[in-house]
Amino acid sequence: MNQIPVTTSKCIGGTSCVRIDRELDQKLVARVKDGDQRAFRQLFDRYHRRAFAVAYGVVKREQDALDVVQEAFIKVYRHIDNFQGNSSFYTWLYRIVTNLAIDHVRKRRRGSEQECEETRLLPDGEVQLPQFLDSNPVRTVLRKELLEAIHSALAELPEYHRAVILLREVEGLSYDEIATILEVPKGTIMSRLFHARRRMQQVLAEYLQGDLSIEEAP
Amino acid sequence: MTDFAEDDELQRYLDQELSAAEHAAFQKRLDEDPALASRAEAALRFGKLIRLAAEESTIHLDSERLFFAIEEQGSLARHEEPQSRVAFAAYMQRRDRRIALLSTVCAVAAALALAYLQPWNAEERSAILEIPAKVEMGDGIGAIPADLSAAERAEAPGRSSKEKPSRVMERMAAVIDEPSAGSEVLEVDFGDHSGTVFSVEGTRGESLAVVWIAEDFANGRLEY
Repeated sequence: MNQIPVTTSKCIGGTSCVRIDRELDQKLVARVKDGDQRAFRQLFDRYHRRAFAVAYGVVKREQDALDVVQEAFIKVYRHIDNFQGNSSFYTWLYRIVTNLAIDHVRKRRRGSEQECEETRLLPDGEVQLPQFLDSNPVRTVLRKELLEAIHSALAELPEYHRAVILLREVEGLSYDEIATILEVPKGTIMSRLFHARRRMQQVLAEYLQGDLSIEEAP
Repeated sequence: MTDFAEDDELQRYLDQELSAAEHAAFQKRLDEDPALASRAEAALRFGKLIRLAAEESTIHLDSERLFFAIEEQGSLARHEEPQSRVAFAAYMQRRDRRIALLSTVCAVAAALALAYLQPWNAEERSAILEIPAKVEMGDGIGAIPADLSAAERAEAPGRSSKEKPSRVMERMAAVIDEPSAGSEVLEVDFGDHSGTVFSVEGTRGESLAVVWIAEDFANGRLEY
């Protein structure tokens, strides 16, 4: 068999990429501490989509995820003077995001709020059209079905397991980094990741075999 | 090796969490075991699907709107930054001191104004100030115990004070309706209520004070 490509993240998971990111992040953080608003905007631009993806994966509601990301960046801005730089900026940011997201889910649960199906709203209030509309309606439908299945499988996981999966698969963070973010031992992260993956792979088994060619963007 | 243990090792292999030696050994097993390689492919595909779903979730993210909201709230929170917080605390202390000083000046000014405006002479004033728990009233009204008002109320439990004023109130009203010659009047603001202080002469010629307090009621104005 050919060598299995083990680099699973786009950039941040790669060692050299992380080093470059860390250096840039450190410079930006220093500039924000000096009151440079543009540096804060750069940090926002670098991380807000990833932060949103993680938050959304945990809270499963778009508006809640927006609230989480907004609150997280406000915390970053307010407390950046306290950030010593012992850990990387993104580790610090993801810790804030995941803690806020998990708190959000717990508050929602305590409030006995009914889990409802996510309704996406565009800024002007219009209901969002199906994603990835293209000339192939079958592929569009299959793709929509796949995404729904993934979100559904994620939603069945406990929020801590969701966070671990997302930090590993989406952000490409190491076990040590995830353990730092979630403030639990590395062994706990390995255990959660293992069980969460197994469970999700069982649910998504039909999508993991063969080649449906639906995951590629049209 | 069980599937469970093998899957655990496979995950650590894909996550690059094996040592170099472990990684090489596992790679060799992958090359020799098509079933294991198939599971590795499925695991990779799984990661790809998760990333696909994550990317999809951010497609309609309005970055500008989100940053505007953050900037708006962040700028409001600038007082909470350490350096600003010190300045803000100092400002609050100065403001509190100014408020305390102003309050003292106002209280002294109010006391002086009251002393200046009050019309009684020293004798009358001392008589007013000496109004005891037991109040004596002139013009045939007679002595009124201080607790008579409560006793009066007890005579007609549940009676609305608007429906029928107490006897004391009637007596006081009589005094006010027909104040003694030479009565002097002072309008007084009691805070929640306004009222009037009458100075009347008692049966033995002593100075007495009658206080009329007005109270607003929901259905009108009752005076007693």
